[in-house]
Amino acid sequence: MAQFPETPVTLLGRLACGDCPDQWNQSWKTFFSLYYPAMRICVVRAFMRYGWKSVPDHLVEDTLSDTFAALSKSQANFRYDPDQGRFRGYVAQIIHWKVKDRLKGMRREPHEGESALSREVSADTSAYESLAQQEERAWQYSALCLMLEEVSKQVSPQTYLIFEQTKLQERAPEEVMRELGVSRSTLDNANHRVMRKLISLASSPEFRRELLP
Amino acid sequence: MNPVLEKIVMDAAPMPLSDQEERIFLNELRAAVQFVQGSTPCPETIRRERPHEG
Repeated sequence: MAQFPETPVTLLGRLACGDCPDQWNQSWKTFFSLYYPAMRICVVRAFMRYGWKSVPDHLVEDTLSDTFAALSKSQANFRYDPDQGRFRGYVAQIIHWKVKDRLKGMRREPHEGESALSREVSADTSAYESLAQQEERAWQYSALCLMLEEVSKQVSPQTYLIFEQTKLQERAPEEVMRELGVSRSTLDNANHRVMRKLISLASSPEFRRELLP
Repeated sequence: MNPVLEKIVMDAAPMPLSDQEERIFLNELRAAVQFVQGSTPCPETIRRERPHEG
């Protein structure tokens, strides 16, 4: 089996390891929830590259379904190699193939000699560019949420809960202290610990390349 | 890209973060969580295949 760096592919590493079905199912749900929004935008944009001005929801969902199935299968052998590029690029490539497959099935693939680029130009350029920006933002959000997911696995459940309640949900510290029965120093230490881990992860090479445009 | 996030990602942010930088970083994290949670349907609505169930 391939060796994975600690982050951000630990989630992907857990998916590649099919030894424990419960863990696999949990990791798959996490992966799905983190990447679905960005992948959905990526699918729509891939159709737009072939000149589609709008894409019916059912077609987007069917293509996403094909993509998730392909990813699920590829993770059995784990074809994603971090040295070859960003994870989002790997997923986008699979999406592109699945869109092409769908178009072939619908006999709407581009004519020979007509490049995807020429279609792209004929599409609504401003809508396409706006979608490209949304997609960029969505991939970044996926990576930020993956960071939170990874940190939640690296600290105790109570430490992460304190951070989640006080920093992400902005609940009053006193209320959380009372509810969890912890002191102010425990709360401050928990938040400090999680923040340090998040900042360290964000600047790690693996997350850096997923977060930067 | 958010300049504070960019500084953190490029390992150029002085540690610890200032209160303002921390607030901006946390805002980014909250926005990410809200976006992802608000855009994702139930996983069971999407067909999926386990690799080892062939």
